[in-house]
Amino acid sequence: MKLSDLQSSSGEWLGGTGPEADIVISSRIRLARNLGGQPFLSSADEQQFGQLERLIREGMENAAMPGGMSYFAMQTMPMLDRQFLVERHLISREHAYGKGPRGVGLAVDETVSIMVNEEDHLRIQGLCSGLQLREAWSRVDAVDTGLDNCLKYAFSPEFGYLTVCPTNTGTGLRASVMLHLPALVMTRQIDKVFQAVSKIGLIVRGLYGEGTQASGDFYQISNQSTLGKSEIAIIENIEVVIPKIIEYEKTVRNNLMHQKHEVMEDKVWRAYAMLKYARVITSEETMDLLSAVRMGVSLGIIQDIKMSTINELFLFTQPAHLQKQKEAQLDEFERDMVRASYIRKKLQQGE
Amino acid sequence: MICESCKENNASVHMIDVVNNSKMELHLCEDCAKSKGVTIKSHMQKSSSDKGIAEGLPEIFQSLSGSQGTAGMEACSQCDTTYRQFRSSGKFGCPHCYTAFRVKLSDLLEKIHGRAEHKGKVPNSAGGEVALQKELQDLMSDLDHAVNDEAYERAAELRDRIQRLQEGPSEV
Repeated sequence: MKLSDLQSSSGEWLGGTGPEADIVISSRIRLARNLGGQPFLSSADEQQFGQLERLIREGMENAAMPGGMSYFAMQTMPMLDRQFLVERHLISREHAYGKGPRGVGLAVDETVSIMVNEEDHLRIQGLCSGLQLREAWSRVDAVDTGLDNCLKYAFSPEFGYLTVCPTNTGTGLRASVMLHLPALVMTRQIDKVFQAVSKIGLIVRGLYGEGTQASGDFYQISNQSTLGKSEIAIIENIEVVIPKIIEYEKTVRNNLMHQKHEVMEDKVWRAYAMLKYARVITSEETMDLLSAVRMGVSLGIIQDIKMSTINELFLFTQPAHLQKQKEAQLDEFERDMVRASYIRKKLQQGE
Repeated sequence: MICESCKENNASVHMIDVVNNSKMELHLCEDCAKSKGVTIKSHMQKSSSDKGIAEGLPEIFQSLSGSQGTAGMEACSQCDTTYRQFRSSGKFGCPHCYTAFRVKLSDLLEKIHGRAEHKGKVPNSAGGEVALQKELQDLMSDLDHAVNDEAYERAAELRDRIQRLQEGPSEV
Protein backbone atom coordinates (compact mmCIF):
# COMPACT_ATOMS: atom_id res chain seq x y z
CA MET A 1 0.00 0.00 0.00
CA LYS A 2 1.16 3.56 -0.76
CA LEU A 3 0.14 6.63 1.21
CA SER A 4 -1.36 8.04 -1.98
CA ASP A 5 -3.87 5.15 -1.91
CA LEU A 6 -5.40 6.78 1.16
CA GLN A 7 -5.97 10.02 -0.71
CA SER A 8 -8.78 8.76 -2.89
CA SER A 9 -10.65 7.15 0.01
CA SER A 10 -11.90 8.74 3.18
CA GLY A 11 -11.62 5.85 5.61
CA GLU A 12 -14.36 3.53 6.78
CA TRP A 13 -14.87 5.60 9.94
CA LEU A 14 -16.12 8.65 8.01
CA GLY A 15 -18.72 6.69 6.09
CA GLY A 16 -21.53 7.95 8.29
CA THR A 17 -22.95 4.43 8.36
CA GLY A 18 -22.40 3.28 11.95
CA PRO A 19 -25.03 3.32 14.72
CA GLU A 20 -26.13 6.84 15.76
CA ALA A 21 -23.98 8.26 12.95
CA ASP A 22 -25.88 11.56 12.81
CA ILE A 23 -24.44 12.50 16.20
CA VAL A 24 -21.60 10.04 16.82
CA ILE A 25 -18.89 10.52 14.20
CA SER A 26 -16.54 7.76 15.29
CA SER A 27 -15.48 5.40 18.06
CA ARG A 28 -11.82 4.94 18.83
CA ILE A 29 -9.86 2.52 21.00
CA ARG A 30 -6.17 2.88 21.63
CA LEU A 31 -3.81 0.65 23.56
CA ALA A 32 -0.44 1.71 24.99
CA ARG A 33 2.19 -1.06 25.00
CA ASN A 34 5.90 -1.25 25.78
CA LEU A 35 8.49 -3.97 25.40
CA GLY A 36 9.77 -5.72 28.52
CA GLY A 37 13.45 -5.44 29.41
CA GLN A 38 13.91 -2.34 27.24
CA PRO A 39 14.22 1.31 28.28
CA PHE A 40 11.16 3.49 27.82
CA LEU A 41 11.60 6.12 25.11
CA SER A 42 11.71 8.80 27.84
CA SER A 43 15.18 7.56 28.78
CA ALA A 44 16.35 5.97 25.51
CA ASP A 45 19.31 7.40 23.57
CA GLU A 46 19.27 7.70 19.78
CA GLN A 47 20.80 4.27 19.25
CA GLN A 48 18.25 2.59 21.54
CA PHE A 49 15.47 4.49 19.77
CA GLY A 50 16.63 2.96 16.48
CA GLN A 51 17.01 -0.54 17.95
CA LEU A 52 13.50 -0.40 19.40
CA GLU A 53 12.03 0.76 16.10
CA ARG A 54 13.73 -2.12 14.28
CA LEU A 55 12.70 -4.68 16.89
CA ILE A 56 9.06 -3.63 16.76
CA ARG A 57 9.01 -3.37 12.96
CA GLU A 58 10.34 -6.93 12.71
CA GLY A 59 7.77 -8.09 15.26
CA MET A 60 5.02 -6.47 13.19
CA GLU A 61 6.29 -8.23 10.04
CA ASN A 62 6.23 -11.60 11.80
CA ALA A 63 2.89 -11.13 13.52
CA ALA A 64 -0.26 -12.36 11.85
CA MET A 65 -2.10 -9.09 11.19
CA PRO A 66 -5.75 -9.42 10.32
CA GLY A 67 -6.20 -7.84 6.88
CA GLY A 68 -2.50 -7.07 6.42
CA MET A 69 -0.62 -3.90 7.27
CA SER A 70 1.83 -1.51 5.62
CA TYR A 71 4.66 0.18 7.51
CA PHE A 72 5.91 3.72 6.92
CA ALA A 73 9.00 5.30 8.53
CA MET A 74 8.26 8.78 9.86
CA GLN A 75 11.71 10.36 9.60
CA THR A 76 11.84 10.00 5.80
CA MET A 77 8.21 10.94 5.30
CA PRO A 78 7.56 14.45 3.89
CA MET A 79 5.98 16.87 6.38
CA LEU A 80 2.86 17.19 4.22
CA ASP A 81 2.25 13.44 4.41
CA ARG A 82 2.69 13.47 8.18
CA GLN A 83 0.15 16.29 8.49
CA PHE A 84 -2.14 14.31 6.18
CA LEU A 85 -2.02 11.33 8.59
CA VAL A 86 -2.74 13.62 11.57
CA GLU A 87 -5.81 15.00 9.79
CA ARG A 88 -6.91 11.40 9.20
CA HIS A 89 -6.58 10.71 12.95
CA LEU A 90 -4.15 7.88 12.08
CA ILE A 91 -1.23 9.40 14.00
CA SER A 92 -0.95 12.00 16.76
CA ARG A 93 0.58 15.45 16.28
CA GLU A 94 3.36 14.48 18.70
CA HIS A 95 4.16 11.49 16.52
CA ALA A 96 4.21 13.56 13.34
CA TYR A 97 6.67 16.12 14.62
CA GLY A 98 8.64 14.08 17.18
CA LYS A 99 12.36 13.32 16.93
CA GLY A 100 14.14 9.99 16.49
CA PRO A 101 13.36 6.86 14.46
CA ARG A 102 9.63 6.21 14.51
CA GLY A 103 6.99 4.86 12.21
CA VAL A 104 3.41 3.91 11.63
CA GLY A 105 1.73 0.68 10.54
CA LEU A 106 -1.54 1.13 8.68
CA ALA A 107 -4.29 -1.31 7.81
CA VAL A 108 -5.53 -0.86 4.25
CA ASP A 109 -9.05 0.13 5.33
CA GLU A 110 -7.66 2.62 7.92
CA THR A 111 -9.47 0.86 10.74
CA VAL A 112 -6.26 0.08 12.63
CA SER A 113 -3.01 2.01 12.92
CA ILE A 114 0.07 1.28 15.02
CA MET A 115 2.32 4.15 16.03
CA VAL A 116 5.84 2.90 16.76
CA ASN A 117 7.93 4.99 19.19
CA GLU A 118 5.33 7.57 20.11
CA GLU A 119 5.27 8.21 23.89
CA ASP A 120 5.15 4.45 24.43
CA HIS A 121 6.88 1.88 22.21
CA LEU A 122 3.54 1.00 20.65
CA ARG A 123 0.22 2.77 20.39
CA ILE A 124 -2.34 0.56 18.68
CA GLN A 125 -5.54 2.28 17.67
CA GLY A 126 -8.78 1.22 16.04
CA LEU A 127 -11.30 3.59 14.51
CA CYS A 128 -14.90 2.77 13.55
CA SER A 129 -17.80 4.79 12.19
CA GLY A 130 -20.60 5.74 14.60
CA LEU A 131 -21.03 4.27 18.08
CA GLN A 132 -19.08 1.00 17.79
CA LEU A 133 -16.58 0.88 20.64
CA ARG A 134 -16.81 -2.89 20.90
CA GLU A 135 -16.10 -3.36 17.20
CA ALA A 136 -13.08 -1.02 17.50
CA TRP A 137 -11.94 -2.95 20.59
CA SER A 138 -12.24 -6.33 18.91
CA ARG A 139 -10.07 -5.13 15.99
CA VAL A 140 -7.44 -3.65 18.27
CA ASP A 141 -7.55 -6.68 20.57
CA ALA A 142 -6.87 -9.02 17.62
CA VAL A 143 -3.87 -6.95 16.44
CA ASP A 144 -2.57 -6.72 20.03
CA THR A 145 -2.82 -10.49 20.51
CA GLY A 146 -1.01 -11.03 17.19
CA LEU A 147 1.81 -8.73 18.30
CA ASP A 148 1.91 -10.30 21.76
CA ASN A 149 2.98 -13.57 20.13
CA CYS A 150 6.02 -11.90 18.55
CA LEU A 151 6.99 -9.20 21.06
CA LYS A 152 7.44 -9.52 24.80
CA TYR A 153 5.34 -6.84 26.45
CA ALA A 154 6.26 -5.06 29.69
CA PHE A 155 3.64 -6.34 32.12
CA SER A 156 3.22 -6.80 35.85
CA PRO A 157 0.45 -8.97 37.31
CA GLU A 158 -0.17 -6.23 39.88
CA PHE A 159 -0.10 -3.08 37.71
CA GLY A 160 -0.91 -4.56 34.30
CA TYR A 161 0.67 -3.22 31.10
CA LEU A 162 3.45 -0.84 32.12
CA THR A 163 3.52 2.53 30.40
CA VAL A 164 5.76 5.60 30.37
CA CYS A 165 3.12 7.69 32.08
CA PRO A 166 1.23 6.13 35.02
CA THR A 167 -2.03 7.63 33.73
CA ASN A 168 -2.06 4.89 31.05
CA THR A 169 -0.96 1.96 33.21
CA GLY A 170 -3.12 -1.15 33.59
CA THR A 171 -5.13 -1.87 30.49
CA GLY A 172 -3.35 0.91 28.58
CA LEU A 173 -6.74 1.49 27.03
CA ARG A 174 -8.26 4.81 26.05
CA ALA A 175 -11.74 4.59 24.55
CA SER A 176 -13.02 7.75 22.85
CA VAL A 177 -16.25 8.64 21.15
CA MET A 178 -16.36 11.70 18.89
CA LEU A 179 -19.67 13.53 19.08
CA HIS A 180 -21.22 16.34 17.08
CA LEU A 181 -23.19 18.49 19.55
CA PRO A 182 -24.16 21.77 17.86
CA ALA A 183 -27.51 22.23 19.64
CA LEU A 184 -25.97 21.81 23.10
CA VAL A 185 -23.30 24.36 22.14
CA MET A 186 -25.87 26.83 20.73
CA THR A 187 -27.98 26.69 23.89
CA ARG A 188 -24.89 26.74 26.14
CA GLN A 189 -25.91 23.51 27.80
CA ILE A 190 -22.70 21.78 26.82
CA ASP A 191 -21.11 22.73 30.16
CA LYS A 192 -23.73 20.67 31.97
CA VAL A 193 -22.66 17.67 29.92
CA PHE A 194 -19.01 18.28 30.79
CA GLN A 195 -19.81 18.50 34.49
CA ALA A 196 -21.96 15.36 34.50
CA VAL A 197 -19.41 13.41 32.48
CA SER A 198 -16.47 14.40 34.70
CA LYS A 199 -18.32 13.15 37.77
CA ILE A 200 -18.23 9.60 36.45
CA GLY A 201 -14.54 9.65 35.57
CA LEU A 202 -14.77 10.58 31.91
CA ILE A 203 -13.05 13.48 30.19
CA VAL A 204 -13.94 15.75 27.29
CA ARG A 205 -11.41 16.79 24.66
CA GLY A 206 -11.33 18.65 21.35
CA LEU A 207 -11.31 17.22 17.84
CA TYR A 208 -7.67 16.16 17.69
CA GLY A 209 -7.29 14.79 21.21
CA GLU A 210 -5.35 15.95 24.20
CA GLY A 211 -4.86 19.69 24.56
CA THR A 212 -6.81 20.61 21.44
CA GLN A 213 -9.74 23.00 21.18
CA ALA A 214 -13.15 21.79 20.22
CA SER A 215 -13.93 23.04 16.73
CA GLY A 216 -16.98 22.62 14.54
CA ASP A 217 -18.91 21.59 17.69
CA PHE A 218 -17.03 18.26 17.86
CA TYR A 219 -16.13 16.77 21.22
CA GLN A 220 -14.35 13.58 22.22
CA ILE A 221 -15.44 11.82 25.37
CA SER A 222 -13.02 9.30 26.83
CA ASN A 223 -12.17 7.36 29.97
CA GLN A 224 -9.69 8.83 32.41
CA SER A 225 -8.88 5.76 34.44
CA THR A 226 -7.12 2.81 32.80
CA LEU A 227 -6.32 0.66 35.84
CA GLY A 228 -8.52 -1.54 38.02
CA LYS A 229 -11.27 -2.14 35.46
CA SER A 230 -11.28 -4.62 32.61
CA GLU A 231 -11.30 -3.40 29.01
CA ILE A 232 -14.97 -4.26 28.60
CA ALA A 233 -15.90 -2.56 31.90
CA ILE A 234 -14.17 0.65 30.72
CA ILE A 235 -16.04 0.49 27.41
CA GLU A 236 -19.36 -0.22 29.17
CA ASN A 237 -18.90 2.85 31.36
CA ILE A 238 -18.77 5.05 28.26
CA GLU A 239 -21.47 3.11 26.43
CA VAL A 240 -23.90 3.85 29.24
CA VAL A 241 -23.35 7.60 29.04
CA ILE A 242 -23.24 8.25 25.29
CA PRO A 243 -26.92 7.43 24.59
CA LYS A 244 -27.88 9.92 27.30
CA ILE A 245 -25.83 12.67 25.67
CA ILE A 246 -27.28 11.75 22.25
CA GLU A 247 -30.78 11.94 23.72
CA TYR A 248 -30.01 15.31 25.30
CA GLU A 249 -28.67 16.74 22.02
CA LYS A 250 -31.72 15.40 20.13
CA THR A 251 -34.17 16.84 22.67
CA VAL A 252 -32.54 20.26 22.47
CA ARG A 253 -32.54 20.10 18.65
CA ASN A 254 -36.24 19.22 18.61
CA ASN A 255 -37.06 21.99 21.08
CA LEU A 256 -35.19 24.46 18.92
CA MET A 257 -37.03 23.23 15.85
CA HIS A 258 -40.37 23.77 17.61
CA GLN A 259 -39.64 27.05 19.31
CA LYS A 260 -37.26 28.72 16.87
CA HIS A 261 -37.99 26.97 13.62
CA GLU A 262 -37.23 29.98 11.40
CA VAL A 263 -34.02 30.79 13.26
CA MET A 264 -32.80 27.21 12.85
CA GLU A 265 -33.69 27.07 9.15
CA ASP A 266 -32.06 30.43 8.60
CA LYS A 267 -28.85 29.34 10.34
CA VAL A 268 -28.63 26.15 8.29
CA TRP A 269 -29.46 27.69 4.89
CA ARG A 270 -27.18 30.68 5.45
CA ALA A 271 -24.32 28.32 6.25
CA TYR A 272 -25.14 26.28 3.17
CA ALA A 273 -25.24 29.38 0.96
CA MET A 274 -21.89 30.63 2.26
CA LEU A 275 -20.26 27.26 1.60
CA LYS A 276 -21.84 27.00 -1.83
CA TYR A 277 -20.83 30.43 -3.10
CA ALA A 278 -17.75 31.52 -1.12
CA ARG A 279 -14.57 32.15 -3.14
CA VAL A 280 -12.13 32.34 -0.21
CA ILE A 281 -12.75 30.44 3.03
CA THR A 282 -10.62 29.57 6.05
CA SER A 283 -10.46 26.15 7.67
CA GLU A 284 -12.07 27.51 10.83
CA GLU A 285 -15.02 29.12 9.04
CA THR A 286 -15.50 25.94 7.03
CA MET A 287 -15.73 23.88 10.22
CA ASP A 288 -18.34 26.20 11.72
CA LEU A 289 -20.48 26.34 8.58
CA LEU A 290 -20.22 22.62 7.89
CA SER A 291 -21.30 21.98 11.46
CA ALA A 292 -24.52 23.94 10.88
CA VAL A 293 -25.14 22.20 7.54
CA ARG A 294 -24.49 18.82 9.14
CA MET A 295 -27.13 19.55 11.77
CA GLY A 296 -29.46 20.68 8.96
CA VAL A 297 -29.01 17.39 7.12
CA SER A 298 -29.60 15.45 10.33
CA LEU A 299 -32.82 17.42 11.04
CA GLY A 300 -34.11 17.03 7.48
CA ILE A 301 -33.92 20.78 6.77
CA ILE A 302 -31.57 19.93 3.90
CA GLN A 303 -32.60 16.71 2.22
CA ASP A 304 -30.56 16.33 -0.92
CA ILE A 305 -27.09 16.05 0.60
CA LYS A 306 -25.74 12.83 2.05
CA MET A 307 -24.23 12.79 5.54
CA SER A 308 -21.16 11.06 4.09
CA THR A 309 -20.61 14.05 1.72
CA ILE A 310 -20.56 16.42 4.70
CA ASN A 311 -18.27 14.12 6.68
CA GLU A 312 -15.88 13.96 3.72
CA LEU A 313 -15.92 17.75 3.37
CA PHE A 314 -14.78 18.09 7.00
CA LEU A 315 -11.77 15.93 6.16
CA PHE A 316 -10.89 16.91 2.60
CA THR A 317 -10.91 20.65 3.36
CA GLN A 318 -8.12 20.30 5.93
CA PRO A 319 -4.82 21.95 4.86
CA ALA A 320 -2.77 18.82 4.10
CA HIS A 321 -5.65 17.12 2.29
CA LEU A 322 -6.11 20.14 0.00
CA GLN A 323 -2.41 20.27 -0.79
CA LYS A 324 -2.25 16.54 -1.49
CA GLN A 325 -5.14 16.89 -3.94
CA LYS A 326 -3.39 19.76 -5.73
CA GLU A 327 -0.03 18.00 -5.39
CA ALA A 328 1.51 21.33 -4.44
CA GLN A 329 2.59 23.33 -1.41
CA LEU A 330 0.05 26.11 -1.02
CA ASP A 331 0.28 29.19 1.15
CA GLU A 332 -2.59 30.11 3.45
CA PHE A 333 -4.45 32.33 0.99
CA GLU A 334 -4.07 29.81 -1.85
CA ARG A 335 -5.42 27.10 0.43
CA ASP A 336 -8.44 29.25 1.30
CA MET A 337 -9.20 29.68 -2.42
CA VAL A 338 -8.68 26.01 -3.27
CA ARG A 339 -10.85 25.07 -0.29
CA ALA A 340 -13.72 27.30 -1.43
CA SER A 341 -13.54 25.94 -4.95
CA TYR A 342 -13.46 22.32 -3.73
CA ILE A 343 -16.51 22.84 -1.51
CA ARG A 344 -18.46 24.57 -4.32
CA LYS A 345 -17.78 21.65 -6.65
CA LYS A 346 -18.73 19.03 -4.05
CA LEU A 347 -21.96 20.73 -3.05
CA GLN A 348 -23.05 21.20 -6.66
CA GLN A 349 -22.37 17.51 -7.33
CA GLY A 350 -24.33 16.62 -4.21
CA GLU A 351 -27.55 18.14 -5.48
CA MET B 1 2.73 32.37 59.19
CA ILE B 2 5.27 31.09 61.75
CA CYS B 3 9.01 30.89 61.03
CA GLU B 4 9.91 27.36 59.96
CA SER B 5 13.25 27.51 61.78
CA CYS B 6 12.60 28.94 65.31
CA LYS B 7 8.86 28.15 65.17
CA GLU B 8 8.22 31.27 67.30
CA ASN B 9 8.37 34.51 65.37
CA ASN B 10 6.30 35.53 62.43
CA ALA B 11 7.86 34.61 59.10
CA SER B 12 8.59 37.72 57.09
CA VAL B 13 11.12 36.30 54.62
CA HIS B 14 9.55 34.04 52.01
CA MET B 15 11.77 32.15 49.60
CA ILE B 16 10.89 29.95 46.68
CA ASP B 17 13.47 27.88 44.84
CA VAL B 18 13.40 25.20 42.22
CA VAL B 19 15.67 22.24 42.93
CA ASN B 20 15.78 19.40 40.39
CA ASN B 21 12.59 20.77 38.85
CA SER B 22 10.62 20.62 42.12
CA LYS B 23 9.43 23.78 43.79
CA MET B 24 10.53 24.31 47.39
CA GLU B 25 9.30 27.01 49.72
CA LEU B 26 10.85 28.34 52.89
CA HIS B 27 9.36 30.86 55.31
CA LEU B 28 11.63 32.43 57.98
CA CYS B 29 11.60 35.31 60.43
CA GLU B 30 14.09 38.08 59.82
CA ASP B 31 16.49 36.93 62.59
CA CYS B 32 16.62 33.32 61.43
CA ALA B 33 17.05 34.43 57.85
CA LYS B 34 20.02 36.57 58.86
CA SER B 35 21.55 33.81 60.96
CA LYS B 36 21.28 31.45 57.96
CA GLY B 37 23.22 33.93 55.91
CA VAL B 38 20.39 35.37 53.84
CA THR B 39 21.14 38.95 52.89
CA ILE B 40 17.97 40.95 52.73
CA LYS B 41 17.98 43.69 50.17
CA SER B 42 15.26 46.21 49.70
CA HIS B 43 13.64 46.74 46.31
CA MET B 44 15.72 49.82 45.74
CA GLN B 45 18.97 47.96 46.22
CA LYS B 46 17.98 44.91 44.27
CA SER B 47 19.18 46.12 40.90
CA SER B 48 22.74 46.61 42.12
CA SER B 49 22.98 43.11 43.57
CA ASP B 50 20.29 40.47 43.57
CA LYS B 51 22.66 37.62 44.22
CA GLY B 52 22.39 37.62 48.00
CA ILE B 53 19.34 35.45 48.39
CA ALA B 54 19.65 33.25 45.35
CA GLU B 55 23.20 32.10 45.95
CA GLY B 56 22.68 30.83 49.46
CA LEU B 57 19.35 29.14 48.91
CA PRO B 58 20.21 25.51 48.10
CA GLU B 59 22.44 25.25 51.19
CA ILE B 60 19.77 26.79 53.40
CA PHE B 61 17.17 24.41 52.10
CA GLN B 62 19.53 21.52 52.73
CA SER B 63 20.47 22.60 56.28
CA LEU B 64 16.89 23.25 57.28
CA SER B 65 15.01 20.49 55.60
CA GLY B 66 17.53 17.73 56.35
CA SER B 67 15.88 14.61 55.05
CA GLN B 68 13.89 16.59 52.52
CA GLY B 69 17.11 17.20 50.67
CA THR B 70 17.41 13.52 49.83
CA ALA B 71 13.70 12.68 49.67
CA GLY B 72 12.79 11.26 46.32
CA MET B 73 16.43 10.73 45.41
CA GLU B 74 16.16 6.92 45.42
CA ALA B 75 16.80 5.68 41.89
CA CYS B 76 15.70 2.80 39.69
CA SER B 77 18.59 0.33 39.44
CA GLN B 78 18.00 -0.22 35.71
CA CYS B 79 17.67 3.28 34.28
CA ASP B 80 18.81 5.57 37.14
CA THR B 81 15.57 7.58 37.03
CA THR B 82 14.94 8.99 40.52
CA TYR B 83 11.46 9.22 42.04
CA ARG B 84 11.88 12.99 42.14
CA GLN B 85 12.66 13.07 38.41
CA PHE B 86 9.57 10.99 37.78
CA ARG B 87 7.39 13.33 39.86
CA SER B 88 8.60 16.35 37.96
CA SER B 89 8.36 14.87 34.44
CA GLY B 90 5.46 12.44 35.02
CA LYS B 91 7.40 9.84 33.06
CA PHE B 92 9.11 6.63 34.10
CA GLY B 93 12.41 5.60 32.53
CA CYS B 94 11.83 1.87 32.12
CA PRO B 95 9.43 -0.93 33.15
CA HIS B 96 11.59 -1.69 36.19
CA CYS B 97 10.73 1.73 37.70
CA TYR B 98 7.36 0.22 38.62
CA THR B 99 9.19 -2.32 40.82
CA ALA B 100 11.73 0.17 42.16
CA PHE B 101 9.05 2.65 43.31
CA ARG B 102 6.37 0.06 44.02
CA VAL B 103 5.40 1.22 47.52
CA LYS B 104 4.95 4.90 46.65
CA LEU B 105 3.38 3.98 43.37
CA SER B 106 0.45 2.05 44.82
CA ASP B 107 -0.78 5.22 46.53
CA LEU B 108 -0.20 7.34 43.46
CA LEU B 109 -1.98 4.90 41.14
CA GLU B 110 -4.89 4.75 43.52
CA LYS B 111 -5.12 8.54 43.42
CA ILE B 112 -5.06 8.57 39.61
CA HIS B 113 -7.27 5.60 38.85
CA GLY B 114 -9.24 4.98 42.04
CA ARG B 115 -7.73 1.50 42.21
CA ALA B 116 -4.21 0.15 42.12
CA GLU B 117 -4.62 -3.41 40.85
CA HIS B 118 -4.88 -4.53 37.25
CA LYS B 119 -7.97 -6.24 35.91
CA GLY B 120 -8.37 -7.30 32.33
CA LYS B 121 -6.18 -8.59 29.53
CA VAL B 122 -2.99 -10.48 30.34
CA PRO B 123 -0.32 -11.06 27.68
CA ASN B 124 0.55 -14.63 26.66
CA SER B 125 4.16 -13.98 27.62
CA ALA B 126 3.13 -13.42 31.26
CA GLY B 127 2.40 -17.16 31.39
CA GLY B 128 -0.76 -19.19 31.70
CA GLU B 129 -0.70 -19.26 35.51
CA VAL B 130 -0.83 -15.45 35.80
CA ALA B 131 -3.68 -15.33 33.30
CA LEU B 132 -5.55 -18.03 35.22
CA GLN B 133 -5.08 -16.27 38.57
CA LYS B 134 -6.21 -12.98 37.05
CA GLU B 135 -9.30 -14.54 35.56
CA LEU B 136 -10.13 -16.19 38.87
CA GLN B 137 -9.71 -12.90 40.73
CA ASP B 138 -11.92 -11.09 38.24
CA LEU B 139 -14.62 -13.77 38.47
CA MET B 140 -14.55 -13.72 42.26
CA SER B 141 -14.97 -9.97 42.34
CA ASP B 142 -17.85 -10.29 39.85
CA LEU B 143 -19.34 -12.95 42.13
CA ASP B 144 -19.16 -10.57 45.09
CA HIS B 145 -20.97 -7.92 43.10
CA ALA B 146 -23.60 -10.40 41.92
CA VAL B 147 -24.28 -11.53 45.50
CA ASN B 148 -24.47 -7.92 46.70
CA ASP B 149 -26.91 -7.13 43.91
CA GLU B 150 -28.89 -10.27 44.80
CA ALA B 151 -28.44 -11.50 41.23
CA TYR B 152 -28.40 -15.14 42.33
CA GLU B 153 -28.74 -16.71 38.90
CA ARG B 154 -25.64 -14.89 37.68
CA ALA B 155 -23.87 -15.67 40.98
CA ALA B 156 -24.50 -19.40 40.45
CA GLU B 157 -23.15 -19.18 36.91
CA LEU B 158 -20.01 -17.40 38.14
CA ARG B 159 -19.53 -19.90 40.97
CA ASP B 160 -19.64 -22.78 38.45
CA ARG B 161 -17.11 -21.05 36.21
CA ILE B 162 -14.79 -20.47 39.18
CA GLN B 163 -15.06 -24.13 40.17
CA ARG B 164 -14.30 -25.29 36.64
CA LEU B 165 -11.23 -23.04 36.46
CA GLN B 166 -9.99 -24.23 39.85
CA GLU B 167 -10.41 -27.87 38.89
CA GLY B 168 -7.68 -27.77 36.30
CA PRO B 169 -6.47 -26.88 32.85
CA SER B 170 -8.40 -29.63 31.06
CA GLU B 171 -11.48 -27.44 31.32
CA VAL B 172 -9.79 -24.27 30.05
